[in-house]
Amino acid sequence: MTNLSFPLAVSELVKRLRENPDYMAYVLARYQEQEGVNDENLAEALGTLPHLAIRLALCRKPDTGSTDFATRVRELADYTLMDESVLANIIRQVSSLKALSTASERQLLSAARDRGDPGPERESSPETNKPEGKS
Amino acid sequence: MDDLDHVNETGARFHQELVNGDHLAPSKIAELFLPLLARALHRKFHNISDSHLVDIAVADALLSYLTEPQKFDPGRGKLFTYLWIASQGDLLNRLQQERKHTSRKLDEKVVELPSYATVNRIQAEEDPEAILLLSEETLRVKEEVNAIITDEGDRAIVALMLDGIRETATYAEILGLKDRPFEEQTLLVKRTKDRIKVALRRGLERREPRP
Repeated sequence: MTNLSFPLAVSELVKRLRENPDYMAYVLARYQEQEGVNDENLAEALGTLPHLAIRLALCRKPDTGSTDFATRVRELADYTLMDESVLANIIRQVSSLKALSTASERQLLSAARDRGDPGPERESSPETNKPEGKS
Repeated sequence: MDDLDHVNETGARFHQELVNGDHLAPSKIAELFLPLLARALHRKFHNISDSHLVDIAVADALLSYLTEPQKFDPGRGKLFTYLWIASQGDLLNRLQQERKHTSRKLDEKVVELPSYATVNRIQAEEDPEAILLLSEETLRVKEEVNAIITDEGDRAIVALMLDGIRETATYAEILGLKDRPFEEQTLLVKRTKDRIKVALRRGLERREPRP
């Protein structure tokens, strides 16, 4: 999701958040894949302004299973001037397809185990207290 | 209160919202700090060969903070300073790595990472100009909205929504519903917001496509 009028750093951040299931950037990226919507048409598909589509991507994703899901979606919809039912449907659609895909993977793994196929080799757990500094 | 104080106060409030799990907080923080950090860092490292590294460094610094906001201690300094140091540190590391990889002398001047003791001075020295440009994007949205929503009262409601204001009472006051029962206020405020959003959507649909 890029927008030339935006600082490049914002696009870079959105790009990184597309891989994080806790963020709306992830939901929008999966929605775009599912519906074949490109970056240029995303705001139009959402019924809002391009700046506000990016704003939405930077928000955390409401949990579809939580009791306050509707409230959280309403808050997001107000904050991005979007229709809350459109937004709720997108989040639900992406979550459902993700759940289905996870279930299918589990079934395949289970079937492989039943056949006695060797599973992927397990690696030892990564160290947890690595130094934080990069260099 | 000057612009810098306003940014720092707003940043402290947004940080608390993020720690509390507010869904809108990451977006508010990104909108407040990313343009400032990117602009200030671009200015400081204006002579590096690949200026895109600046944006990557700023994005990575913010991502790290959003992932682990607890690592920032508001008692030890301002959020802007924290992000500035993280961005600059990231950028310097990238430049160093790039140098190693290309094994050639780059001609840019690399600025030393300041010590923690100087962090509070940095923001005042680096940013006053950038802060004036703070709301550039916000203004653009406002202009686009105002082109469609012409009623002043509706515009005031939109402004509150874009600020992430949730309290029904704030909207009710603007709409002159203060004396109505709370349930009625909630219903009427929601109706108003929905009506405005529909008008905005229709306005956007009618708008001619951009070249």
